[in-house]
Amino acid sequence: MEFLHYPLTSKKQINKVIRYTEDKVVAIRFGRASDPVCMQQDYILSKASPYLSKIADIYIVEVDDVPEYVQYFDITLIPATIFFFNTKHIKINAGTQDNTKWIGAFQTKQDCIDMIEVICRGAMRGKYIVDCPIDKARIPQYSLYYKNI
Amino acid sequence: MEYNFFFCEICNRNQEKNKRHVYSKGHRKRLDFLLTRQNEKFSKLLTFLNNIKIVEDDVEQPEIWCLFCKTTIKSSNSKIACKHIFLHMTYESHIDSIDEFWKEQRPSKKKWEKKQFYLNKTVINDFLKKSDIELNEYKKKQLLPSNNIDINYSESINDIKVSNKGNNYINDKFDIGNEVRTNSSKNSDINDNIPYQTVQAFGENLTCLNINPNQNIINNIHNDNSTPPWMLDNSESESNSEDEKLNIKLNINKKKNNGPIVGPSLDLYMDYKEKKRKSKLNPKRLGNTIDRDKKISKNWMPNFGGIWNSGPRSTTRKEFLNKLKKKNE
Repeated sequence: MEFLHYPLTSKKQINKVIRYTEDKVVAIRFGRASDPVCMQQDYILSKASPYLSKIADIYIVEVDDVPEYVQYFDITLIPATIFFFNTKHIKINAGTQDNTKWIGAFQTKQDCIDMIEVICRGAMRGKYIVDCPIDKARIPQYSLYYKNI
Repeated sequence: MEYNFFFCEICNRNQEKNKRHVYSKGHRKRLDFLLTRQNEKFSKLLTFLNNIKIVEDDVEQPEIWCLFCKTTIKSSNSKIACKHIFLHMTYESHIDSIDEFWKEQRPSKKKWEKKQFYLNKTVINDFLKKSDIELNEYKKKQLLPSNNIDINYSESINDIKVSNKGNNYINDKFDIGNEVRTNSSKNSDINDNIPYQTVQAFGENLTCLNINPNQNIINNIHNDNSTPPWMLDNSESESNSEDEKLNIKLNINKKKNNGPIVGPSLDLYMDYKEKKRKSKLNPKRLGNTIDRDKKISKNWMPNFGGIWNSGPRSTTRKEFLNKLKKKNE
């Protein structure tokens, strides 16, 4: 999917993107190009990206390239999409166990657009966490077990 | 623009800005009233410090307003009555805000003492120890009544089966042990600096990466108070063609035209346009004032101490003496 999205291959590049993107949402998809759900996520992101070009930049990262960030972001299920705004990490309250990232693929293009728009509007108002605008039936379900809680 | 008045939170109205107001009759009266009320609340609840009581439902825990911190002290799913209030009373931030309150309002020395409104750490440590013992006894008592319940309970401890509302697809039992809990049941302890990490993950159609649960993680995304790694990284290793492509995309290190320029340059105009566009955005948006090129090391310190700090000289002197004391200890 490298022809659809800008691929990031190192920690340095990820740092740069998060640090130097101004007043725009940065969506980074962590996953594997060979994974079918990742492919679906990439496809939907690519369909939504022209509509979002003014408010968001979308990048893709292969999980095997950046083990440090996989550990830092606590990524266990792929695809995991993480959002930033002006270097700040944005959390999503979707009623799932993990609010730090969006796990799984969006089901429709409109879901993706809605999500990123809500993040952008929230961040513009100074919010670190936003409520998920997507219908509960279309939020991918998963379960995680934590230690040291 | 500076205004001639300020909002007095004690009197609950705007007042003329002067030093006398704090000593005025009405203000004193109201301050005494508020302090007596706070003191009453605290002293009532402090009875639970020695008589530890176990509360079954979280609803029974009292929630009170802290006059100094200007917050409601909310309960945090603990079974011991008023634990959250006692913990709040030991926090350094609470003691700091009491100091600040005293400095601002200057309550009469004869009536009030700061001691009345906070707890020592030794007291709270004793309380926590006692409450742990009490809680264990309580759990044992609950287990005793009938043997059937006992067996079920111990089974459920050994293999925890976590099933959330929407997650019906997990039907297997996992030997995880007591320490693993779901995210929603997060406990708030004081010394909770180790971030939590995922040990097992399941998702519909989703691929799971290899997880090494024995890894010792110092810092991760669940730790809200730390500086994220993308702000720490300052290593300037060699840049390849891909990095340069990214630089152009992100508009970093703009190349400036060194040739002879006639009239205002394009860069200046673009900068001006960008500034104008930004002036229309919300000034309170996230990361508005962030300095992207600032080099932050891990040993970054916000307080320079000594003469560089604002405020009266006496405060810096106190700070210095405190530090000296700690060093000598």
